[in-house]
Amino acid sequence: MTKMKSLLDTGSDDFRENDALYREKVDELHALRLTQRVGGPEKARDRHVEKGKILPRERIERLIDPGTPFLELGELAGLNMHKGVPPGAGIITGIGVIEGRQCMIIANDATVKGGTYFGITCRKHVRAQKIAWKNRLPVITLVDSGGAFLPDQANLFPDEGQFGSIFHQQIGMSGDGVPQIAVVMGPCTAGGAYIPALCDEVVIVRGQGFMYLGGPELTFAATGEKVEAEELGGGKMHCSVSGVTDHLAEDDAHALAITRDIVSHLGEKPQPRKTPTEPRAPAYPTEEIYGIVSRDPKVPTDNREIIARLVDDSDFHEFKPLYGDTIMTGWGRINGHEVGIIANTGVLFVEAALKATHFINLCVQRDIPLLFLADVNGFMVGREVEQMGIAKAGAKMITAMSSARVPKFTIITGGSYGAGYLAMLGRPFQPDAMFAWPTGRSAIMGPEQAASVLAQVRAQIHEREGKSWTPEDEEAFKAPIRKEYEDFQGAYNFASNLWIDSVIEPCETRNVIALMLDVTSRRAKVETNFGVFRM
Amino acid sequence: MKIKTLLIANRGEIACRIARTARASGITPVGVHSDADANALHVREIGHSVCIGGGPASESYLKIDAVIDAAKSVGADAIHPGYGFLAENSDFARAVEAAGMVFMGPTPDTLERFGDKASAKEAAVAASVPVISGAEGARSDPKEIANEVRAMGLPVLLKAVGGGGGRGQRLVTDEATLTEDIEGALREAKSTFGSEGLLLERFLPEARHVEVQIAGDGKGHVVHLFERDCTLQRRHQKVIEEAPAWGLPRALLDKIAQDAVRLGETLDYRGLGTVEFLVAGDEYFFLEVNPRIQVEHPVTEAITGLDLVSLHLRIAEGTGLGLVQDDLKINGHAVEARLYAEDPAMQFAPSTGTLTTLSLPAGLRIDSGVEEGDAVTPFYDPMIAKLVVHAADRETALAQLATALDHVAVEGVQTNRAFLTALARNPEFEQMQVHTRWIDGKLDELTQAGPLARPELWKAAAAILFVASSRSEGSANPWENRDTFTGWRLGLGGDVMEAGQRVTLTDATETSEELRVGPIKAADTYIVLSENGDAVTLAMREITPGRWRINKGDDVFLIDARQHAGVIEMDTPEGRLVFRPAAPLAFAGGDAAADRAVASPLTGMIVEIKVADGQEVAEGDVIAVMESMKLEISIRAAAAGIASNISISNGDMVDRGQVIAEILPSEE
Repeated sequence: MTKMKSLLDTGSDDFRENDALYREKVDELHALRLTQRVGGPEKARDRHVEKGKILPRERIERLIDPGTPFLELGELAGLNMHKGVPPGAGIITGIGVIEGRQCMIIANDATVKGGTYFGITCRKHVRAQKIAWKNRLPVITLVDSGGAFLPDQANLFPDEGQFGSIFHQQIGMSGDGVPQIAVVMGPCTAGGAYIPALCDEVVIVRGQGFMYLGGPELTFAATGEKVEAEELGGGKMHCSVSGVTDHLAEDDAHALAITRDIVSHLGEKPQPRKTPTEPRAPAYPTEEIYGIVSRDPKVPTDNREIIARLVDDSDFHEFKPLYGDTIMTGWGRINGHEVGIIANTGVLFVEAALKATHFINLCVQRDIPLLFLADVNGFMVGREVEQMGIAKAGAKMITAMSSARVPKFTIITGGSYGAGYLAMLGRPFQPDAMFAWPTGRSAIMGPEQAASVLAQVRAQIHEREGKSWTPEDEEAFKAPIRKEYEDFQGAYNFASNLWIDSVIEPCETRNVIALMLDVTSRRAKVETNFGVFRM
Repeated sequence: MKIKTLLIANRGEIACRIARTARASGITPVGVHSDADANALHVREIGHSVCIGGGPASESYLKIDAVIDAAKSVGADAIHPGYGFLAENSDFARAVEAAGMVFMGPTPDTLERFGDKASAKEAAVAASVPVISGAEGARSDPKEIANEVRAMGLPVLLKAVGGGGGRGQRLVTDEATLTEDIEGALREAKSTFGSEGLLLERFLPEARHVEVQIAGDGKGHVVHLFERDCTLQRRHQKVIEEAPAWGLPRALLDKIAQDAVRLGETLDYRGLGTVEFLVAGDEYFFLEVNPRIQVEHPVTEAITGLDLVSLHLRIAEGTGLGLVQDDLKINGHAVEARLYAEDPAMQFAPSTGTLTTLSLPAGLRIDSGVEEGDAVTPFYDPMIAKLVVHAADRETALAQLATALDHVAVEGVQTNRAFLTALARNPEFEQMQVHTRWIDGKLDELTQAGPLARPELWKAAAAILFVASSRSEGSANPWENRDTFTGWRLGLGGDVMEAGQRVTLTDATETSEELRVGPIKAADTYIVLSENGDAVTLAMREITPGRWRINKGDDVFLIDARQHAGVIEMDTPEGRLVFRPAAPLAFAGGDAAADRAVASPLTGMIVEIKVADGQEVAEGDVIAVMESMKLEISIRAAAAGIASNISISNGDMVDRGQVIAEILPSEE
């Protein structure tokens, strides 16, 4: 074993200032999460409870095994996106353990705009399905939704990845043998009725859950037939007459109990393919990461010190430590689970890209999951590196990273820009899960760089047109660009748009990654076929 | 004659206890059992047992032929009847002897004599042992009885001839009910004991029950093994017994003992026997003789250091008592409590069921006939165990008994544990300010469990245990790792209780509470919120399997805990506590709200309506019978309640799904 030795001076002013700033950011994250946990407005929540219904978070709490974790995903989706919609977009998604089996739980929050689907709600639902599909997690959907939020139809109706994709994914998953259970706890009208109808087993709550393609009003308008909701699509009718639903529950708690029973009969539970060692805390406190992450974007963070605070016992077997020193590669364990870590320690050079390629190749060969800690301005530019073939080297790294079919995860820990963002397992390369720390940021380029590049273009135009501009003019031109990039690059913007799955803070990282490593270790190994490496 | 094989014609703790001594004496014990006892502890412990019939005792343990056959089949040379069942049956004793085996008890003649109250009393009088004044012999004429009762002065006890152990007794305290009481007692004597007669006895309202253990070699040598005090009785059933009798002058006790020995000597008493007396002031009166080993014999064993079964085996083998009176000394004080499966809330009615939890403390003698997982059946005496403590003095013994009872946990049946604990700690009992009817007058007070010093601490600990035990310590599976992941949620840095796990616990008093358990970042520390919002912060860690260390502020507690059969059991310094957590999603309502509409399952004709409007029905009761598809089909109620709105009559055609009646909830 190779224990990392930290050179950190926790007494320095620099550490203290970084630490203080980071703690503010962590507080901000927790405050944001709390606004999301509450759900809809108080009146809506009170009405929900008065009807004898259980609030969605408590439903999940009661559904999962007592005392077990719930790994929420996409909790900040839709942050600041729609008026009156708290982050979370009216739906809760996450992985929890039911009867000892990991399941993806998708729960509508009827207290937020009646649980209706916005475009972002659809994407969050689809994202949860994708994670479930890939990891063969049974999907438990607690349906309590008024259907589509009509004004947002452009974002939810016509395209792939929107509402219709929920069905398409359900069918695809089902074809692959992934169990799907729906619990109808509220009215499901029209398209909404298909989510449960496409499930393997459906539980419905008497007098509370309804399913129909057209509700009583629509039926009357369309055909003149007058019919009560219960007769048209109530639980008793569907369980005894139409056979649309399978289990009739008397209330929410009963429905959840039936659901737990159903999950206990889903057949053999998948076992992990890996044998983790006993979890050990890092030798250096993880909390010290707060003081390590640089508060100034111009001053790089020593990511070596961060790894020492993320891996078990700070035990890290580094690969090629002397070669390509702007990237760090090696193996460690997180809560006992072995993982190959790739972290930036500078701009990507040819050697660094080659080393990363070699390392990814080894992890694939050894069936070891990959964790990318992204904090990079991009690939090096200039005559020297171009002549060394940095385009070839970068292509190798991207090919290896993209081809690798071992479980792979990304955490944006610092600034991750341009091709660097992509090469460090950006979202387009479909990581199993992607997170950002509150200090994480990403864009095509950094705000200052973007402002400079655009100012340069503008200066060339000015020159062609024979105009001149003062340094003040230039600054006035740059400021809004900088602001735009600042706003764009933040972790919360990425979370709001679901470009990442969650914002997590450094102290949660080991837990989150360990949970994901365990989940992904229970799916079958997939062979990797690397694309052509340009030599 | 050396006994080689001993048949034990009994069950439960006494069968186990006899077998232990037999084995230690180099004798092979063989048991008997009924169908209901095929897997009973005595069968498992004795190792060889013969099935002698069905569950009811009358079909097995009371069947003389079956027992004799069993004894013959295993080549037994002696039979020990234990207590109860056939122990005092002279026909059985004769049959054993006729079959050439040794009956471990008195001669059939002695049994006959003591089996009848009147003749027992006569024997006592003949041996100059004081008896309670009353009419000599049995009476059966109600008028004659009434006259004699009036002459004796109330209160008077009417005892059925052939009754015993408190059964068949009726106390007359009021002249007004005299005739009624006499007729009732006569009826009961006839129906229960098949006897026509009643004995009349002066009733001593505030007497103590003192009994003398005697042992005789059958040839005239009788010794006493001192007395036992069994004053604590509930409706004549002994509850707590002790030896020696505390607070009575030794001279008086010696006199009583000598009387008991003399009675034994006049009959050439053979085997073990107990001569029971009532003591009131400096008077004492003969009650009866129990010609067999007693339930409460362990307290005598404790203070004399003798093994009574071993002594009895010597007698049976004809080698004499092997001791003389002067060899015997009292050493310290012993107390026994009888733990019963009975429900104090239901007038101590036997409580049957499976002992899902049975935890008994260590460090004292416990005679038990059941183990965890065994059943208490309605066929036999529902005793679970006898707890016997032995200390230098009575005060210490009682304190030990109370502590031991604190550490008893039984689930699956109701028990009298709290009642026994209350008795063991009762100041009047401590001072022996009690009499044989004392409990009956104080029942309400004595069935209340004493309060715990730290109820909220233990409840919080139980809630944490419940949450923690679904996780495992040091597990590499983060989804079940106890250390870092208990109730883990994103953002615990916010409100800890936000992710607090709900746990509903029901305690021994059947009080339920929903608590919330919130983990804290510091290792093993939890906050538990009670329903009224009080927070308890505890650190809890399992130091060895099943043993937990609890830190609450500066206080450190070590408890043993386990979770099984749906309960959390904790052995705390305050006693063994049991909490029942509600399953995460137990659905209590059942189908209470289920369909109240009764619908026809097919199209057909109603041929019979079985209930009237407004009639009370049970779930599954037939409401109507219809004919359809050439079949007669019963239409049943899906719930219990009142049959209402019956909308059909005989001969009506009904459609499939047509509602023919409703079952409305009963008003209660």
